[in-house]
Amino acid sequence: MRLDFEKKLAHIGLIIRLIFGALTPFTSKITEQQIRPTITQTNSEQSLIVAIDINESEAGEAQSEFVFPGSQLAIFTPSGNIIMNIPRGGTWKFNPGARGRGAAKIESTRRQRNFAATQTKTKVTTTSTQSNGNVFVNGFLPKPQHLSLPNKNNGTFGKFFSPPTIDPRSQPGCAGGGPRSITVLSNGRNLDSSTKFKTFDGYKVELTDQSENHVTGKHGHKFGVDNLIPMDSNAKQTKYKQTRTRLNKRNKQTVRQEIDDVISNRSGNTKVYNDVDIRGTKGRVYHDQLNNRVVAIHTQGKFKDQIKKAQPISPRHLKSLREFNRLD
Amino acid sequence: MNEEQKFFKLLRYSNELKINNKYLDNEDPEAFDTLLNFLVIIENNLHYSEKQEYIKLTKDFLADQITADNFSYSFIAVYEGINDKLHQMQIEESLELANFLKCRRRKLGKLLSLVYGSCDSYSPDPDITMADETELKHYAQILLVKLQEQ
Repeated sequence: MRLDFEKKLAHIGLIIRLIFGALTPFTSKITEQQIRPTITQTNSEQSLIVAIDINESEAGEAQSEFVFPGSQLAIFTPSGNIIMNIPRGGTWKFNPGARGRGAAKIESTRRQRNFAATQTKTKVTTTSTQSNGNVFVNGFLPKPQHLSLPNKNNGTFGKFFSPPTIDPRSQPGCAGGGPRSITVLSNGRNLDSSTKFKTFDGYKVELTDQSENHVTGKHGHKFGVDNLIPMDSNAKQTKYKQTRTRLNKRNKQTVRQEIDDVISNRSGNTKVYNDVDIRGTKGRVYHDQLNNRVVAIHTQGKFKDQIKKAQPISPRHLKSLREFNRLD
Repeated sequence: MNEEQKFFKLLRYSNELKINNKYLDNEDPEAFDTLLNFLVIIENNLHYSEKQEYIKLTKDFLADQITADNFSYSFIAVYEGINDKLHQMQIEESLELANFLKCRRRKLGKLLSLVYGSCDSYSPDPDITMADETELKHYAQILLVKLQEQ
């Protein structure tokens, strides 16, 4: 019995020796002096065993000085004794750095998808944001407070940008017409914006966005727009229905263009009235004779050099304008 | 040549010029002034013919049954609607125009023009408005009195 026990013990010892003994040839070419300069201790305690990747710098470039065939990683004690090398040959990339970063990338993608999903869906998913238990993942995972905000145009890691799709119908040689999809960029017009014009007699004037809304709403139907909004339920029914033009980009653009046509004298039928009394404020009035409409610009006061009126003109108004230089 | 014949002759001449993209004011300013005076008389009478619309509208506004914004849009609709009708009759050289050449009604025309100006200048947006609700109500009161006394 005792002989059998001793034999079994010897076998176990042989197996252990075979296992650990097989690793020693990989360390044979490394000297303590070669390794020491590359040691980076992550803990000040001397008893800690540190591991370094001596084949890759932080930038991922090979450092030929420390390259030795068949071994990329050394595990050693604080005193510098190598206790283990992890073999790495050919294209096989087994090291905690590469593996950890790869796993972290996958995990980070998963987290960001979950985060984006909770932001866009009303039904919150119950996907855990904890790591998958991989020890390499934790070291490279971004902290929740540092997660980049999901952006549909920025790709998963904010490296990719998808440019706006260009409407093919807007390209030269393509037939236009009909509704068009227009990509609106972030620098679109806002409430404070205004359009600058130059009149045919050399004055610089502007149309603020608010005034543009005003003239479009009230007189858009007289400036090339046929897009009225339904009558207000608060309004009483009359023989002549309210004409309130819908305020949208297209309608406003049409009115803007028509105003420009009048003050630029594109039809050749615009007549200018200077020094006009526009409800108590001095201004200039551009009369589109062909279409019976006027554009009035203040030349003094709070709205100096602003287009304040764009309206049709009645015979009564025109007579007042011609005889008394006045526009009610 | 009486007034009516003179009016239609000038109207015909003006229309012929417009077809050729010309304007009577540029070709013959004096003739244009004469034509314009006729058109103002017709316009005033056309507005007067629709005085019930104006009376109903001003009453609703003064009784606070409609907002100032709605009053401004409704008044503009009536005023411009009548002028659109006049414009169409001019193009067609409608003989019906002769029926509106009689009475002048200058004061009514002037008052309606002022109310229209206020309605056009009114906006609920305080940053751009050039006429407030008080001004509109003031004009509405005067207009109502004026229309009811005629």
